[in-house]
Amino acid sequence: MFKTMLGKEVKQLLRERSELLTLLIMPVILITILGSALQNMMSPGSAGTDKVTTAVVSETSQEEELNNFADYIANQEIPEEERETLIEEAVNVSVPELLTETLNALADDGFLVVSEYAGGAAEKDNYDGVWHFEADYREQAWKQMFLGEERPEPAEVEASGQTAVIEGVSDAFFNELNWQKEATYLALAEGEALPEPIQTEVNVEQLDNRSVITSFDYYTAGMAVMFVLYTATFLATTAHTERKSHVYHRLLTSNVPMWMYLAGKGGAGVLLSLLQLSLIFTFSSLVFDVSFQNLGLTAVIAGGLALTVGSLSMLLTAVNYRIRNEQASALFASVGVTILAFLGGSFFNVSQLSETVATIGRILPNGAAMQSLLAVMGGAGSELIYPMLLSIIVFSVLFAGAALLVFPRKEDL
Amino acid sequence: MLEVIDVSKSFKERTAVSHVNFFIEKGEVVGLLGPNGAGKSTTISMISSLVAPSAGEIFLGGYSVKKDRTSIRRMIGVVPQEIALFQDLTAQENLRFFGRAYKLKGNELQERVEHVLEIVGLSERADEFVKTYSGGMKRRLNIAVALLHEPELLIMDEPTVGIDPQSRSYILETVRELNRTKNMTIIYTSHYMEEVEYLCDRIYIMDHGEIIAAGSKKELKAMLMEEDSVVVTLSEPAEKFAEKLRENPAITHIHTSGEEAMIRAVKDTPVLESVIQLTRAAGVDIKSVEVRSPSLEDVFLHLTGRTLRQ
Ligand SMILES: Nc1ncnc2c1ncn2[C@@H]1O[C@H](COP(=O)(O)OP(=O)(O)O)[C@@H](O)[C@H]1O
Ligand SMILES: [Mg+2]
Repeated sequence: MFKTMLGKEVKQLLRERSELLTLLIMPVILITILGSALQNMMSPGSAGTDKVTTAVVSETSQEEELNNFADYIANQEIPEEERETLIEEAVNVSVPELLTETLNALADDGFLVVSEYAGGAAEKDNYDGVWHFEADYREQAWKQMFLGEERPEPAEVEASGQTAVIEGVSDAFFNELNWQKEATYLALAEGEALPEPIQTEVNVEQLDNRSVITSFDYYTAGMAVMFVLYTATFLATTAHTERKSHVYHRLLTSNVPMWMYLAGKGGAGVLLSLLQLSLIFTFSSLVFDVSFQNLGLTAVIAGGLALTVGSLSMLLTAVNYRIRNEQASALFASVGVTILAFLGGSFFNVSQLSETVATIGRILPNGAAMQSLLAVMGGAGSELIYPMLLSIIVFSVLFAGAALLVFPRKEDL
Repeated sequence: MLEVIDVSKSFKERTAVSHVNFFIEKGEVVGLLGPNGAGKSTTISMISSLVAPSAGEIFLGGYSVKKDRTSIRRMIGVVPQEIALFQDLTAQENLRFFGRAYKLKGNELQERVEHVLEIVGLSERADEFVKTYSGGMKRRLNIAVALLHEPELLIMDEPTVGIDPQSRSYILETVRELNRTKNMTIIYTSHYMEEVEYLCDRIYIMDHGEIIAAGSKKELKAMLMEEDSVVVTLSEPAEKFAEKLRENPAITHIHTSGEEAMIRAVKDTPVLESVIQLTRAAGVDIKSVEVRSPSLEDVFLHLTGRTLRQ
């Protein structure tokens, strides 16, 4: 009977042109429109709702390098008091410290999270960007700045998530640094020719399996998690029709149990939303080159989301039956979906508005699914995805449980 | 086969069915006649185990509706008052769906589907969507679904409302055939007395949730045998004229509609004479006079003072 119920829902949906339009054509159109319109406006930084996490790693401590530098200039032909000035200046223009300062200033604006590591290596995968300074980077930089010697090896920047942000921050920082250096140099030795800049090119290395989130990626995730919700309202609406036309009574008199009816709705919700998600994802991947990186994880997320849609279909059906009209599903379709989609970040990244709102959004099943989809698109692995899916499982269980509680048991319909 | 014992049903404050008693023997066609709101559908829902009685007991084939719901449901086929079908599936798809609900499968399912399509005369149009059907065709398919599992008791709730005369007589013939050829026991609910009169061996008349009369056609009409029934058509609205007639003690009942007056009087009293006298005195012409033998409609009128469709 379960299979028969599923088959029936699929047939009914395929014959409802207006529903197909809502469930398949609308999201595809919106992905196209929003994706193209915001293609250039969207900095990947706003793609993820999380703050950009950064780390600065220097292999040696500043103190150690300062000692080395002091030793070095002791052997140079430099007047005694000038040596002291140089050491004092060196502390002020120590590159890793200046970078950390700059990042901290951005962190104060709520844009970044910064960690520092001295003498060790940061776990690269845990950060969107890691700046790595070689053991003698400071010393080399000072030598170049004050003594006009060779430039140091450029600092390495490894960006994993928010490449453009990391790149932008690096660029801005090193430009600034060059200006400062010029100023310092001018102060130290008036009238002499300007020195070479310390580091012009920023060497941003993108870690292999990570990629940038495009606006098409963003809206594929956003619209998919939004429009699957309409599958639940479609099923709850047909359920209402079945109550009104006494089809449900007919099923009861043929000894189909009430829970089987609800389970049929739930199963149809899972099946139809899986179909819907596959079609939307296929479209985006073929037309807009949206890459899901890890198909297995994408399937896990789609499966989790489909479970939520299934149990939501059951809940909306149950409420429609309890209140004996279709206002529950109608209200959900008009207001509920919009609110959920907004909070979940389907339209734009709400963390730009308020971190609290964004946090709520990430707890909601659609928001959680969207975040994990974006993370997978960005190359994240299962250890990051599975915790995100927790809320999806919790909501599925809650919805299904509530449906069983709410569905009228007394058959005085 | 079916026993309904002192059954009542209240919805919150409203009493829909009150102290109803009746029985049906195997192979009978029994009518449940009453106007809209009489409590027919509620009674049927209780027999179908969809609505629990507030009081009383119902037994079908020895099973209690309260305790053996599953067995009861296996025995009955219910034709609801509503068109309980999927409008966007074809007749065939609907039948296959409900057939599976009755746990039919494979060849047996297909045979049953074809068989019931034949019974209701829809074989030719089995692959058309239900929403493209006429009202009469939908009603016929509504019946077909209830026949899929060959029930012992077929319960039909107003199976002919709002359809064309051809479909209606087709359905009436189908019901007759089912009873004759398959010895199917049938409860037939209607507010059309002609249908009940045509089909049913025994009839229960319901009004305001109560059974106000029961018996065979003959027995019910015998209730009126002590009276004469006359219908006069006048040249002007009959109501004013009726006022005067009501003063005549021999006249038990007058019902007017437009220029027509239906008059019942104690048998063998000279009613016609006083009618003619009164019309003369009022200067009204009589267009026609008809002496009628009583119908179930008259029985209902006699019992309630209202017509069935009032
Ligand atoms: N579920 C219900 N809730 C409240 N009142 C009801 C319900 N079902 C029927 N009634 C009331 O019970 C009475 C009998 O209705 P019903 O059995 O449908 O009559 P019939 O089928 O003879 O037209 C009506 O007054 C109707 O309004
Ligand atoms: Mg009714």
